[in-house]
Amino acid sequence: MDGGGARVDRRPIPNGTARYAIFLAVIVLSALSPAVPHSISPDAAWWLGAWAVIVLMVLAGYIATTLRPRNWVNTLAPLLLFPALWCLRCADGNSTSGFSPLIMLPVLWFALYGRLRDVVLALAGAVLTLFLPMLIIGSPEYPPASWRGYVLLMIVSAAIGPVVYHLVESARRSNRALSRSELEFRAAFEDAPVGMAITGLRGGEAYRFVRVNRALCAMFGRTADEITGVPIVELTHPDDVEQTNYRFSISTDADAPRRIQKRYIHRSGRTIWASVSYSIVRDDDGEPTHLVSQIEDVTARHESDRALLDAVETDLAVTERMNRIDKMRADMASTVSHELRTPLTSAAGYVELLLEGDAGQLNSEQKMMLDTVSRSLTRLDGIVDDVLSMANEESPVAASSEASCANLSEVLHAATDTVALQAAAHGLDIVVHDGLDGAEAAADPGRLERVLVNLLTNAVKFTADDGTITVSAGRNADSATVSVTDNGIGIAPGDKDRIFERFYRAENGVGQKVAGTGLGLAIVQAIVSQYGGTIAVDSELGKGSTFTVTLPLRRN
Amino acid sequence: MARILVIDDDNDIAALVGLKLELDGHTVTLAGDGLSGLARLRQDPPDVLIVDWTLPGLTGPEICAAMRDDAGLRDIWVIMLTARPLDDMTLTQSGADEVVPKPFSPRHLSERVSSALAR
Repeated sequence: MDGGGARVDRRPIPNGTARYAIFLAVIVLSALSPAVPHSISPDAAWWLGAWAVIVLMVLAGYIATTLRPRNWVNTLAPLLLFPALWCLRCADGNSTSGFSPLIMLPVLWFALYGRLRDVVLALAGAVLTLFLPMLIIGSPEYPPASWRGYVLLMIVSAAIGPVVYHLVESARRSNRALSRSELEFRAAFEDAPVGMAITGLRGGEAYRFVRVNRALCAMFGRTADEITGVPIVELTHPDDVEQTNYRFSISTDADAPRRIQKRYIHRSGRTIWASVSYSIVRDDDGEPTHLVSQIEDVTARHESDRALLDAVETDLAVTERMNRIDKMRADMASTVSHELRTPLTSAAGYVELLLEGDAGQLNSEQKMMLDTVSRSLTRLDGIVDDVLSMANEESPVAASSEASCANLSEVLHAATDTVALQAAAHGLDIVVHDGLDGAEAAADPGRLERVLVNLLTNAVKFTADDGTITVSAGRNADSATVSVTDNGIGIAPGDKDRIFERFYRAENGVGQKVAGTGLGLAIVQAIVSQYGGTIAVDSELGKGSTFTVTLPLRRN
Repeated sequence: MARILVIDDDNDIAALVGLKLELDGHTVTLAGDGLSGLARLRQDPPDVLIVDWTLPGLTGPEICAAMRDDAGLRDIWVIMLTARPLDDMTLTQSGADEVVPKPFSPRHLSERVSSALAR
């Protein structure tokens, strides 16, 4: 608790006009004390008794002000003046010593409860009270009881009254002002929505919580009693203890930061992240005595920041891993393509040289055998192509790295040209109805050509010789459609859903598998969906199939 | 006829290309890796260079880059063989005058060489 707070706490808390009424009444009654019969001769016992009562009165006042909450002891204490006065009158007869309580009371009172200024004023009042009667009476002794004496006493009392009243009132005012600031401070402190703490800097309170508010108790999960008097570091996160000690050592330096981040420990053991800002309380000599700290719980903010950071890190890690996998896949594709195609090249090349007679003329049997080898090698090359395309289509890098534009009509004609020879070999006609009207898709032309080539190759493969393949293409405002229809063997209903799976091979009408890898349609679907399109199949076993590709058009 | 240098680390391919081109009447020199290929290139510049993309030592594109910096080699016609999937960027990346994808037909390669020499 800061010095100001301590002073505030030990001040008597005024509780209404009753106390001052009693106080003033006692003063007035004291002035009338010479009227008390005093047949008893001066006596040391009475004198001591009177002083004992005064000491008791002072003691009662002191005890009353240290008690909280406020009580009636300090209000009733002035009443003890009356028996004190009685004792003095009995002990001393008519001497001015009968006035001593009148002098002592305000002095003691203000010495105890007031400020230095109040005490000085009270002493001045007392001096006036002592010397004024002496000047008027001309002697240190009161005359025997007479009307003149009573009038004199009333005048003296009237002189004392305003002085005492002024002193009391000024004390009351300052008390009220202090009380108001105390109430305001308490409200601001106790009801603050953020944690508030007063920390000692000196003596037994040094670096301990002296006073804490409700919000701080809630933040720490502890009661005020469990926190008050506890060294700060005991509630500090172990990792921050060193930093906290250092902060304390420099806390009163002019250029030390007044806002810091640190961690405390909740009763449950969890970490509390806090933003602490503080101000310094100094005593009358300007020496720092306390710190008043605002401790804001930023755990939630910290955790959400942390979560965000973690998410970003995780995201980065995942992205990096994906990129690594994609790179591995690309590396593998390139290695595999090199490793497979190089021997294919040399095998096919030598076969070609042999077939062309570069190593001497071949007889028809040798030629037939080498033709078979050549065909097998061509098929093998096709399989390598399929596998590599599949690997590339599955790579998001491949998908995202190309954002180009394809004229669908050009793609369509390139594809039919590619398949034309193959179709002609089987005596198949390819009929094209091109209604694309310059439609363009945001896609790589080479990939789209591969889609159509795969569909057309399938149509050739699964259509009996002399059949017909029809390609119909059209467009509307948003999309273009290309369908490839054959009058081949068709697809069994059970196969329809599975033909787009990788390596899935439907059986032909007589229970045989047709040559191929089972990748062609999987590649088609991968490419089409990569460009936001769809592929549908409509087929009847024995009658033929129609594959329809729909692609969104490029937006200008 | 012409003098042709073939740089390929695959002996079978190198022999195949060499055989076909010799049958066509050209003089063929073989090199098995990038460094010795470049050394041979500098020592005895050919009319046409046929080089594989993937090579130990220097790769095909690295050899092309080295040739561009050498005034004596800059004008040699370069045909690069590659097993890489072709795309729009392949030719630019290779640095060669033309790229022939593997697998290739020896007859096709021989035609490419003839048209290069006709230039």
